[in-house]
Amino acid sequence: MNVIDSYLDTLFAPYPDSARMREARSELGAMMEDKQQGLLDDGFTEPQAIGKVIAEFGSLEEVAPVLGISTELGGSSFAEAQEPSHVSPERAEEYVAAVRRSQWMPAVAVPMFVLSAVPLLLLFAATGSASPQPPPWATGTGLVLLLVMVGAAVMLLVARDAKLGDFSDLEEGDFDLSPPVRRFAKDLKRQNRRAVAIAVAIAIMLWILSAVPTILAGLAAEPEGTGTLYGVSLTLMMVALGLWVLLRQGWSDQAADNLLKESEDEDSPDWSTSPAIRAIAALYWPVIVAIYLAWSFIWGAWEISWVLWPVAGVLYAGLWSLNVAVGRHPEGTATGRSSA
Amino acid sequence: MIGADAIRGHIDLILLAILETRPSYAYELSKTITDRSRGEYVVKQTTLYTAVKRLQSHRLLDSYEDVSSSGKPRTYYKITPDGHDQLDAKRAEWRSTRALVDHFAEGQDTA
Repeated sequence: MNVIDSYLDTLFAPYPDSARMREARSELGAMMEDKQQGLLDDGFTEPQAIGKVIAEFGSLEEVAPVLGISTELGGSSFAEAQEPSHVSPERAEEYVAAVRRSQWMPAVAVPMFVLSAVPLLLLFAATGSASPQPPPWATGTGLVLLLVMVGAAVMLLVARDAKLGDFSDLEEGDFDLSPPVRRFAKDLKRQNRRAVAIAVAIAIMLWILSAVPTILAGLAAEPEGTGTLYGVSLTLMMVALGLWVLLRQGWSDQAADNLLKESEDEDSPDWSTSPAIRAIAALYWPVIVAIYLAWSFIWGAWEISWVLWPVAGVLYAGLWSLNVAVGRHPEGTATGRSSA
Repeated sequence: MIGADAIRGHIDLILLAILETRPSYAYELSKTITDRSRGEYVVKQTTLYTAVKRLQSHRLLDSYEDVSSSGKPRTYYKITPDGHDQLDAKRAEWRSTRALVDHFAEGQDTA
């Protein structure tokens, strides 16, 4: 393959393959080849000739109308999926409004995953001190509530995806970013910068302070008692409250970043595009609760098992950072979305 | 060197006029334009290709496969009867355009 061939390959790569495109590729290739030969005959060196041929090639956009690229765009769903589409400012506004309208769904659903264990913990705390084993009705009710909450949260997230289904091209960055849309998204971000900063600050403060109830309860509770569970419940509520504050305000950055094809604020594992990370994030807290309860009840280790919570918190932060570090181009869709 | 914008509106006339004498293929057309303009105007390949395809879609040109002087298979273009008519119309249009622009460019108020 020579330089001219690879040059044409690069130029034609974004366009759907069709008979007309192949014909244009071959005829333009023949023109360049002839021209290169003509220049070589005139005494140019090979690099000079190639440079001149490419400089005098022109632009493929000029050829687009006669190639019917625009008709092929609307012609088949395959071409539609392959070709970046144009997004009008009106559609961008509709998208932002849709994200904003449905933002309560993830803002409620994600904290629900964290809170799902709280009824179980509270039931154990309320009944646990009476006997070494919690009564079966408490375990049963708690587990049912846990499953109901996880199920409701999953349904909310699925419903959210469905609501934004019409805008999947925007969410996946499959479009051409025009200057008016870029301006609109930047404005949206600027107007909400203060609110986002406040939400992030509140959330981080809540997460840092969330360790306090568990640690205090762990230190204060009698070794065999289940008093620590109140502290743990409070910790989970603070984590959930932080997530709610953060996610509620997350619509503006999420919408703007998708329009700008950036994802610097999608650092939360809960928003990650990687299904594996999403699954881990959703199951993380329920699994931690299960481990904590098993450890506490089966080995009767109440005096020490609360240590699990600070450890789990640090691990969660680690998972988050790992997602930021490696989750940059899941499924190859987010290449070029990197941020510093 | 003549700017591409100044020529763009007249590329159809130029191509039809060259093809009036004999059929030709894309590179030969661009070389003829460069040679006859004594290097003053070099047509971009995409400009030439776009113009040829547009003329062909308007049935002013026909194409056929042949072998070039260098022995390679090339798509040749030849002018159609409609193309001849169009060339005549374009020539008339060019003469009146030139007369009009000259009238202003030379700054002689003959009115």
